[in-house]
Amino acid sequence: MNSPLPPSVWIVVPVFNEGDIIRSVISEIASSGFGNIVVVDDGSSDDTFVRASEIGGVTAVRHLLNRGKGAAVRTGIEAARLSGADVVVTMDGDGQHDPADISTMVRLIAEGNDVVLGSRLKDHTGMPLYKVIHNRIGNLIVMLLYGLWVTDSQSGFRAYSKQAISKIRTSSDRFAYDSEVIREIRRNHLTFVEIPIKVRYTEYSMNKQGRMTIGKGIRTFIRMIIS
Amino acid sequence: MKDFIPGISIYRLILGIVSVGFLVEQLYRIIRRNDHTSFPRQLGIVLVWAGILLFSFFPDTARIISLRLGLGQNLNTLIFSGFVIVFLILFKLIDKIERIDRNLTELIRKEALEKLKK
Repeated sequence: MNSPLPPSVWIVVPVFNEGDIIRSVISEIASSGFGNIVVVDDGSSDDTFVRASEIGGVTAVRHLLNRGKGAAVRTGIEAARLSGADVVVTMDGDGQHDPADISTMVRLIAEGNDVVLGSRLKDHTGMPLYKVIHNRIGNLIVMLLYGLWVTDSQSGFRAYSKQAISKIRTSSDRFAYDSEVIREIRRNHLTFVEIPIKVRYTEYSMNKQGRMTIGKGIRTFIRMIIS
Repeated sequence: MKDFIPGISIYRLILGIVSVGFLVEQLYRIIRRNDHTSFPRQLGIVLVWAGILLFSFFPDTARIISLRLGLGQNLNTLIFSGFVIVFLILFKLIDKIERIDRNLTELIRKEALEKLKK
């Protein structure tokens, strides 16, 4: 008897001005055993798109204008869906996330979970204190607004089943996207599990422009309330 | 607190200077035809800033207008209603901007994925 085909796993990497490190991020993902990679260049002003396109086997798509991380992730998920993905994993393009965690996420989806949330706060060793506080406040707000408690509502390292992809409907293009996914999990009664993930806080990722700041956090909170 | 210029408090002075700045800029745009906004809107902007300038240097004007119009103390109600209308317009504008923003994202996404659909 033939064994069932392994699920088609696609990794979505949204990027914005990551020309310096895009090659190393992609090659690290590929060497961890996942070759289906979608890179979404969110209107970078550097050569990120050109560099990503030159990497063999990578599906590189580009936003003509910068639309925000949430918009880039959604474009990437749509690209993966068009390519026939059974499982979609999203991860940041600045090299913070360790691709070694992908296989655990895929296994948990294969075991029947709809969504797997990578959590930086399950083990926050090495995480800057202000980030821990910032994230905990974010979790509390998400809990109050959407009625679901998760340990890391702002994490971009997540995995989705085919069913979850078809049901999740978000409208935010910016950082509120990650919180909206939590709302959708509850609204659609999707099953989810959280796993601790390893995060590498490099000098590059900590100094990068466009990362979440307190000001952006406040704006995100206001947007979440209005929407 | 002592007035910066006798008879004119500091906040009225700042408001006056700001309104003069905006008035000059708007008039410059109209003269140079350096603006794509319609004439009624340009006129509206000039009238609003001229009004602010008038009230900041001659606050008694508000009382005189109120008496002439027969509003008396009801002018406060009128001003409050004005604020409510301004906020309603603001929310409507935000809503429209967000809709345009969403449409723009959708358009950019379609363009980005065009290659994959072929």
